[in-house]
Amino acid sequence: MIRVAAVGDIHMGSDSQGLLRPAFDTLSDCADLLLLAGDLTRHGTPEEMRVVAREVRDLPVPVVAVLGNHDHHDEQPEKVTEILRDAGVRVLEGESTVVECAGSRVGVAGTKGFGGGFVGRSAGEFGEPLMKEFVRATRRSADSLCAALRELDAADCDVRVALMHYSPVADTLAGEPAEIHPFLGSYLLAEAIDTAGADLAVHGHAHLGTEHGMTTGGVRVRNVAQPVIRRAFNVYRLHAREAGTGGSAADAA
Amino acid sequence: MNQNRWPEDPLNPAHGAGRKGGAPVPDRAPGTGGASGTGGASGTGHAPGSAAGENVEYRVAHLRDRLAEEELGELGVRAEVRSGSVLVTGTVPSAHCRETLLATVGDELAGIEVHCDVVVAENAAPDHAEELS
Repeated sequence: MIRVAAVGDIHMGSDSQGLLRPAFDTLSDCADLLLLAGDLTRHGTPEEMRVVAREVRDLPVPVVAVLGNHDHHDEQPEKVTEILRDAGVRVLEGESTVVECAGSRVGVAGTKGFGGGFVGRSAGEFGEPLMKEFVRATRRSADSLCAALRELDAADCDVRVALMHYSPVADTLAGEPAEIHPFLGSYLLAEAIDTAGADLAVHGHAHLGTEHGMTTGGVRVRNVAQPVIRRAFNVYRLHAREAGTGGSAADAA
Repeated sequence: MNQNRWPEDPLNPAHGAGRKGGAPVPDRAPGTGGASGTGGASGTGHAPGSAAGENVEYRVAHLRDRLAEEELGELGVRAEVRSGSVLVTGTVPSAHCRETLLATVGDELAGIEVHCDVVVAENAAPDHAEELS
Protein backbone atom coordinates (compact mmCIF):
# COMPACT_ATOMS: atom_id res chain seq x y z
CA MET A 1 0.00 0.00 0.00
CA ILE A 2 1.41 3.36 -1.06
CA ARG A 3 -0.16 6.55 0.23
CA VAL A 4 0.17 9.52 -2.12
CA ALA A 5 -0.74 12.96 -0.77
CA ALA A 6 -1.31 15.69 -3.34
CA VAL A 7 -2.39 19.30 -3.65
CA GLY A 8 -2.04 22.04 -6.25
CA ASP A 9 -2.89 25.69 -6.61
CA ILE A 10 -1.97 26.71 -3.09
CA HIS A 11 -1.07 30.18 -4.42
CA MET A 12 1.09 31.29 -1.53
CA GLY A 13 2.10 34.88 -0.95
CA SER A 14 3.56 36.99 1.81
CA ASP A 15 0.39 36.56 3.87
CA SER A 16 0.40 32.76 3.58
CA GLN A 17 3.28 31.66 5.79
CA GLY A 18 2.16 28.97 8.20
CA LEU A 19 -1.29 28.39 6.74
CA LEU A 20 -0.52 24.89 5.43
CA ARG A 21 2.33 23.81 7.66
CA PRO A 22 0.16 22.49 10.51
CA ALA A 23 -1.58 20.11 8.10
CA PHE A 24 1.68 19.22 6.34
CA ASP A 25 3.20 18.28 9.69
CA THR A 26 0.63 15.47 9.94
CA LEU A 27 1.76 13.87 6.67
CA SER A 28 3.82 11.16 8.34
CA ASP A 29 0.60 9.81 9.84
CA CYS A 30 -1.28 9.48 6.57
CA ALA A 31 1.05 9.60 3.55
CA ASP A 32 4.35 8.35 2.15
CA LEU A 33 5.04 11.31 -0.13
CA LEU A 34 3.57 14.69 -1.06
CA LEU A 35 2.98 15.84 -4.63
CA LEU A 36 2.61 19.55 -5.42
CA ALA A 37 0.74 20.07 -8.70
CA GLY A 38 1.90 23.57 -9.57
CA ASP A 39 0.66 27.13 -9.00
CA LEU A 40 2.42 27.18 -5.69
CA THR A 41 2.69 30.98 -5.90
CA ARG A 42 0.56 33.85 -7.17
CA HIS A 43 3.03 35.60 -9.47
CA GLY A 44 6.03 33.28 -9.54
CA THR A 45 8.36 35.67 -7.71
CA PRO A 46 11.33 34.41 -5.71
CA GLU A 47 9.85 36.04 -2.61
CA GLU A 48 6.63 34.06 -2.96
CA MET A 49 8.47 30.82 -3.65
CA ARG A 50 10.56 31.35 -0.51
CA VAL A 51 7.28 31.31 1.42
CA VAL A 52 6.47 27.97 -0.20
CA ALA A 53 9.98 26.67 0.48
CA ARG A 54 9.70 27.48 4.18
CA GLU A 55 6.29 25.83 4.27
CA VAL A 56 7.60 22.49 2.95
CA ARG A 57 11.19 22.42 4.20
CA ASP A 58 12.04 19.41 6.41
CA LEU A 59 8.64 17.80 6.05
CA PRO A 60 8.41 14.21 7.32
CA VAL A 61 7.84 12.83 3.79
CA PRO A 62 9.55 13.42 0.41
CA VAL A 63 8.06 16.24 -1.66
CA VAL A 64 7.85 16.21 -5.48
CA ALA A 65 6.58 19.22 -7.44
CA VAL A 66 5.93 20.69 -10.84
CA LEU A 67 5.52 24.38 -11.54
CA GLY A 68 2.29 25.94 -12.78
CA ASN A 69 1.49 28.87 -15.02
CA HIS A 70 1.42 31.28 -12.06
CA ASP A 71 4.91 30.12 -11.11
CA HIS A 72 6.06 31.27 -14.57
CA HIS A 73 4.43 34.70 -14.46
CA ASP A 74 7.52 36.53 -13.18
CA GLU A 75 9.53 34.73 -15.88
CA GLN A 76 12.02 33.27 -13.42
CA PRO A 77 11.19 29.55 -13.54
CA GLU A 78 14.81 28.51 -13.08
CA LYS A 79 15.22 30.75 -10.03
CA VAL A 80 12.04 29.62 -8.29
CA THR A 81 12.87 26.00 -9.12
CA GLU A 82 16.24 26.46 -7.45
CA ILE A 83 14.57 27.90 -4.34
CA LEU A 84 12.32 24.85 -4.08
CA ARG A 85 15.19 22.44 -4.67
CA ASP A 86 17.23 24.15 -1.96
CA ALA A 87 14.37 23.30 0.39
CA GLY A 88 14.67 19.63 -0.55
CA VAL A 89 11.83 19.47 -3.06
CA ARG A 90 12.29 17.37 -6.20
CA VAL A 91 11.06 19.68 -8.98
CA LEU A 92 10.25 17.96 -12.27
CA GLU A 93 9.89 19.32 -15.79
CA GLY A 94 9.86 16.51 -18.30
CA GLU A 95 11.74 14.39 -15.81
CA SER A 96 11.18 11.51 -13.45
CA THR A 97 12.20 10.60 -9.94
CA VAL A 98 11.90 7.47 -7.83
CA VAL A 99 10.88 7.76 -4.19
CA GLU A 100 11.65 4.83 -1.92
CA CYS A 101 8.92 4.63 0.66
CA ALA A 102 7.12 2.01 2.71
CA GLY A 103 9.33 -0.64 1.16
CA SER A 104 8.16 0.26 -2.33
CA ARG A 105 9.48 2.23 -5.25
CA VAL A 106 7.18 5.06 -6.30
CA GLY A 107 8.00 6.62 -9.64
CA VAL A 108 6.80 10.14 -10.38
CA ALA A 109 7.01 11.66 -13.86
CA GLY A 110 6.29 15.36 -13.95
CA THR A 111 5.70 18.23 -16.31
CA LYS A 112 3.79 21.48 -16.18
CA GLY A 113 1.93 20.62 -19.36
CA PHE A 114 0.04 23.22 -21.35
CA GLY A 115 -3.22 23.84 -23.21
CA GLY A 116 -4.72 23.09 -26.58
CA GLY A 117 -7.96 21.34 -25.75
CA PHE A 118 -9.45 17.93 -26.12
CA VAL A 119 -10.31 15.57 -28.95
CA GLY A 120 -12.72 17.12 -31.43
CA ARG A 121 -12.28 20.60 -29.96
CA SER A 122 -8.54 21.12 -29.95
CA ALA A 123 -6.07 23.50 -31.49
CA GLY A 124 -3.77 22.29 -34.24
CA GLU A 125 -0.31 23.16 -35.49
CA PHE A 126 -1.55 25.38 -38.28
CA GLY A 127 -1.54 29.00 -39.30
CA GLU A 128 0.26 31.76 -37.49
CA PRO A 129 3.63 30.99 -35.91
CA LEU A 130 2.23 31.87 -32.46
CA MET A 131 -0.56 29.34 -32.89
CA LYS A 132 1.83 26.64 -34.03
CA GLU A 133 4.18 27.35 -31.17
CA PHE A 134 1.31 27.14 -28.68
CA VAL A 135 0.49 23.60 -29.78
CA ARG A 136 4.14 22.59 -30.14
CA ALA A 137 4.82 23.63 -26.55
CA THR A 138 2.12 21.24 -25.38
CA ARG A 139 3.39 18.49 -27.65
CA ARG A 140 6.93 18.87 -26.28
CA SER A 141 5.60 18.70 -22.75
CA ALA A 142 3.52 15.59 -23.51
CA ASP A 143 6.44 13.90 -25.25
CA SER A 144 8.69 14.57 -22.26
CA LEU A 145 6.04 13.14 -19.94
CA CYS A 146 5.79 9.99 -22.05
CA ALA A 147 9.56 9.56 -22.02
CA ALA A 148 9.73 10.12 -18.26
CA LEU A 149 7.02 7.51 -17.62
CA ARG A 150 8.87 5.04 -19.81
CA GLU A 151 12.04 5.66 -17.79
CA LEU A 152 10.11 4.74 -14.68
CA ASP A 153 8.82 1.56 -16.30
CA ALA A 154 12.40 0.57 -16.95
CA ALA A 155 13.33 1.52 -13.37
CA ASP A 156 11.17 -1.26 -11.94
CA CYS A 157 8.81 0.97 -9.99
CA ASP A 158 5.94 -0.51 -8.01
CA VAL A 159 3.70 2.45 -8.81
CA ARG A 160 3.95 5.16 -11.45
CA VAL A 161 2.32 8.56 -11.06
CA ALA A 162 2.05 11.29 -13.70
CA LEU A 163 2.19 14.74 -12.09
CA MET A 164 1.07 17.78 -14.11
CA HIS A 165 -0.36 21.23 -13.61
CA TYR A 166 -2.58 21.29 -16.71
CA SER A 167 -5.27 18.66 -17.11
CA PRO A 168 -4.95 15.63 -19.39
CA VAL A 169 -8.72 15.07 -19.58
CA ALA A 170 -11.91 17.08 -19.80
CA ASP A 171 -13.58 14.98 -17.07
CA THR A 172 -11.91 16.91 -14.28
CA LEU A 173 -12.79 20.27 -15.85
CA ALA A 174 -16.51 19.74 -15.28
CA GLY A 175 -17.68 22.98 -13.68
CA GLU A 176 -15.38 25.16 -15.77
CA PRO A 177 -16.88 26.95 -18.78
CA ALA A 178 -16.42 24.71 -21.82
CA GLU A 179 -15.18 27.72 -23.80
CA ILE A 180 -11.96 27.86 -21.76
CA HIS A 181 -11.14 24.14 -21.78
CA PRO A 182 -8.42 24.66 -24.42
CA PHE A 183 -6.62 26.84 -21.87
CA LEU A 184 -6.94 24.28 -19.10
CA GLY A 185 -5.38 21.20 -20.64
CA SER A 186 -4.74 18.97 -23.59
CA TYR A 187 -5.55 15.46 -24.72
CA LEU A 188 -1.89 15.15 -25.73
CA LEU A 189 -1.04 14.70 -22.05
CA ALA A 190 -3.57 11.87 -21.69
CA GLU A 191 -2.29 10.24 -24.87
CA ALA A 192 1.22 10.29 -23.40
CA ILE A 193 -0.02 8.74 -20.15
CA ASP A 194 -1.97 6.02 -21.93
CA THR A 195 0.93 5.29 -24.26
CA ALA A 196 3.56 4.90 -21.54
CA GLY A 197 1.26 3.70 -18.76
CA ALA A 198 0.67 5.00 -15.25
CA ASP A 199 -1.28 4.07 -12.15
CA LEU A 200 -2.50 7.58 -11.35
CA ALA A 201 -2.44 11.01 -12.96
CA VAL A 202 -2.62 14.13 -10.79
CA HIS A 203 -3.11 17.73 -11.88
CA GLY A 204 -4.35 21.12 -10.72
CA HIS A 205 -5.10 24.38 -12.57
CA ALA A 206 -8.90 24.01 -12.84
CA HIS A 207 -10.21 25.68 -9.67
CA LEU A 208 -13.84 25.24 -10.65
CA GLY A 209 -13.39 21.70 -11.89
CA THR A 210 -14.06 18.26 -10.46
CA GLU A 211 -11.75 15.90 -8.60
CA HIS A 212 -12.38 12.61 -10.39
CA GLY A 213 -11.69 11.64 -13.98
CA MET A 214 -10.14 8.95 -16.15
CA THR A 215 -8.21 8.81 -19.38
CA THR A 216 -9.66 6.90 -22.31
CA GLY A 217 -7.01 4.28 -21.59
CA GLY A 218 -8.34 3.76 -18.05
CA VAL A 219 -5.82 5.68 -15.92
CA ARG A 220 -7.41 7.43 -12.93
CA VAL A 221 -7.05 11.22 -13.01
CA ARG A 222 -7.42 13.45 -9.95
CA ASN A 223 -7.72 17.22 -9.99
CA VAL A 224 -6.13 18.25 -6.70
CA ALA A 225 -6.47 22.02 -7.05
CA GLN A 226 -6.99 23.19 -3.47
CA PRO A 227 -10.27 24.96 -4.28
CA VAL A 228 -11.56 21.64 -5.62
CA ILE A 229 -10.47 19.30 -2.82
CA ARG A 230 -11.17 21.92 -0.13
CA ARG A 231 -8.39 20.61 2.12
CA ALA A 232 -4.67 21.10 2.60
CA PHE A 233 -4.14 17.94 0.54
CA ASN A 234 -5.87 14.70 -0.44
CA VAL A 235 -4.51 11.20 0.05
CA TYR A 236 -4.79 8.38 -2.50
CA ARG A 237 -3.94 4.81 -1.50
CA LEU A 238 -2.44 2.76 -4.30
CA HIS A 239 -1.61 -0.92 -4.31
CA ALA A 240 1.81 -1.81 -5.61
CA ARG A 241 1.57 -3.87 -8.77
CA GLU A 242 2.51 -7.50 -8.43
CA ALA A 243 5.70 -8.65 -10.09
CA GLY A 244 5.19 -9.46 -13.74
CA THR A 245 1.74 -7.94 -14.03
CA GLY A 246 2.80 -4.74 -15.71
CA GLY A 247 0.02 -2.73 -14.15
CA SER A 248 -0.55 0.04 -16.62
CA ALA A 249 -3.64 0.40 -18.72
CA ALA A 250 -1.45 0.49 -21.79
CA ASP A 251 0.21 -2.76 -20.85
CA ALA A 252 -3.14 -4.41 -20.25
CA ALA A 253 -4.58 -3.31 -23.58
CA MET B 1 -20.29 23.58 7.86
CA ASN B 2 -17.80 25.64 6.05
CA GLN B 3 -16.16 27.78 8.71
CA ASN B 4 -14.51 29.99 6.13
CA ARG B 5 -17.62 30.76 4.19
CA TRP B 6 -18.53 34.41 4.48
CA PRO B 7 -22.11 35.54 4.21
CA GLU B 8 -23.26 37.09 1.00
CA ASP B 9 -22.38 40.74 1.15
CA PRO B 10 -23.42 43.21 -1.51
CA LEU B 11 -20.53 45.55 -2.14
CA ASN B 12 -22.34 48.52 -3.51
CA PRO B 13 -21.41 51.39 -1.15
CA ALA B 14 -24.58 53.17 -2.22
CA HIS B 15 -26.51 50.36 -0.55
CA GLY B 16 -24.59 50.79 2.66
CA ALA B 17 -22.73 47.49 2.57
CA GLY B 18 -19.24 47.86 3.92
CA ARG B 19 -16.08 46.56 2.45
CA LYS B 20 -14.08 44.48 4.88
CA GLY B 21 -11.45 46.92 6.00
CA GLY B 22 -10.15 47.21 2.52
CA ALA B 23 -6.60 46.60 1.57
CA PRO B 24 -5.49 49.43 -0.70
CA VAL B 25 -5.82 48.77 -4.39
CA PRO B 26 -2.54 49.64 -6.03
CA ASP B 27 -2.36 52.13 -8.87
CA ARG B 28 -6.06 52.83 -8.98
CA ALA B 29 -8.11 55.68 -7.70
CA PRO B 30 -11.23 54.86 -5.73
CA GLY B 31 -14.15 54.10 -7.96
CA THR B 32 -16.46 56.92 -8.77
CA GLY B 33 -19.05 54.90 -10.61
CA GLY B 34 -19.70 54.79 -14.28
CA ALA B 35 -16.61 53.90 -16.20
CA SER B 36 -14.19 53.29 -13.35
CA GLY B 37 -13.00 50.12 -15.01
CA THR B 38 -12.37 51.48 -18.43
CA GLY B 39 -8.88 52.27 -19.50
CA GLY B 40 -7.56 49.95 -16.81
CA ALA B 41 -5.72 46.74 -17.29
CA SER B 42 -7.27 46.13 -20.66
CA GLY B 43 -6.19 49.53 -21.91
CA THR B 44 -9.29 50.18 -23.95
CA GLY B 45 -9.61 53.74 -22.68
CA HIS B 46 -13.32 54.39 -23.12
CA ALA B 47 -14.39 57.81 -21.94
CA PRO B 48 -16.45 57.91 -18.76
CA GLY B 49 -20.10 57.97 -19.56
CA SER B 50 -19.63 56.50 -23.02
CA ALA B 51 -21.88 53.66 -24.08
CA ALA B 52 -19.02 51.17 -23.85
CA GLY B 53 -17.99 52.56 -20.47
CA GLU B 54 -21.46 52.00 -19.06
CA ASN B 55 -21.72 48.45 -20.35
CA VAL B 56 -21.75 46.11 -17.36
CA GLU B 57 -20.27 43.20 -19.28
CA TYR B 58 -17.21 45.23 -20.31
CA ARG B 59 -16.77 46.42 -16.74
CA VAL B 60 -16.88 42.82 -15.55
CA ALA B 61 -14.27 41.93 -18.17
CA HIS B 62 -12.06 44.77 -16.92
CA LEU B 63 -12.55 43.55 -13.35
CA ARG B 64 -11.29 40.13 -14.34
CA ASP B 65 -8.26 41.73 -15.99
CA ARG B 66 -7.49 43.68 -12.82
CA LEU B 67 -7.87 40.63 -10.57
CA ALA B 68 -5.36 38.78 -12.75
CA GLU B 69 -2.86 41.57 -13.23
CA GLU B 70 -2.80 43.36 -9.89
CA GLU B 71 -1.79 42.22 -6.43
CA LEU B 72 -3.91 39.07 -6.35
CA GLY B 73 -2.84 37.41 -9.59
CA GLU B 74 -6.26 35.82 -9.39
CA LEU B 75 -7.59 33.79 -12.34
CA GLY B 76 -9.87 31.45 -10.43
CA VAL B 77 -12.65 33.86 -9.49
CA ARG B 78 -15.68 34.05 -11.74
CA ALA B 79 -17.72 37.23 -12.20
CA GLU B 80 -20.97 37.00 -14.16
CA VAL B 81 -23.77 39.40 -14.94
CA ARG B 82 -27.09 38.18 -13.56
CA SER B 83 -30.13 40.31 -14.27
CA GLY B 84 -28.26 43.59 -14.02
CA SER B 85 -26.26 42.67 -10.92
CA VAL B 86 -22.93 40.86 -10.78
CA LEU B 87 -22.32 37.51 -9.08
CA VAL B 88 -18.72 36.93 -7.96
CA THR B 89 -17.79 33.36 -7.00
CA GLY B 90 -14.64 31.40 -6.31
CA THR B 91 -12.03 30.44 -3.75
CA VAL B 92 -9.08 32.60 -2.71
CA PRO B 93 -6.03 31.49 -0.73
CA SER B 94 -6.33 33.75 2.33
CA ALA B 95 -8.60 36.14 4.20
CA HIS B 96 -6.30 38.99 3.16
CA CYS B 97 -6.80 38.02 -0.49
CA ARG B 98 -10.54 38.08 0.01
CA GLU B 99 -10.38 41.57 1.51
CA THR B 100 -8.29 42.77 -1.41
CA LEU B 101 -10.66 41.15 -3.86
CA LEU B 102 -13.69 42.79 -2.26
CA ALA B 103 -11.98 46.18 -2.41
CA THR B 104 -11.12 45.72 -6.08
CA VAL B 105 -14.63 44.55 -6.93
CA GLY B 106 -16.15 47.48 -5.06
CA ASP B 107 -13.86 49.89 -6.88
CA GLU B 108 -14.30 48.47 -10.36
CA LEU B 109 -18.03 47.87 -10.13
CA ALA B 110 -19.02 50.96 -8.15
CA GLY B 111 -22.68 51.71 -8.70
CA ILE B 112 -23.55 48.12 -9.65
CA GLU B 113 -25.21 45.70 -7.27
CA VAL B 114 -22.78 42.88 -6.50
CA HIS B 115 -23.37 39.53 -4.82
CA CYS B 116 -20.15 38.03 -3.52
CA ASP B 117 -19.89 34.31 -2.84
CA VAL B 118 -16.11 34.06 -2.53
CA VAL B 119 -14.69 31.72 0.10
CA VAL B 120 -11.25 31.26 1.61
CA ALA B 121 -9.41 27.99 0.90
CA GLU B 122 -9.63 25.41 3.64
CA ASN B 123 -6.31 24.28 5.07
CA ALA B 124 -7.28 21.35 7.27
CA ALA B 125 -5.71 17.93 6.82
CA PRO B 126 -8.04 15.33 5.31
CA ASP B 127 -9.86 12.94 7.62
CA HIS B 128 -9.85 10.07 5.15
CA ALA B 129 -8.04 8.73 2.10
CA GLU B 130 -9.37 7.49 -1.23
CA GLU B 131 -8.69 3.86 -1.97
CA LEU B 132 -7.62 3.26 -5.57
CA SER B 133 -7.77 -0.47 -6.10
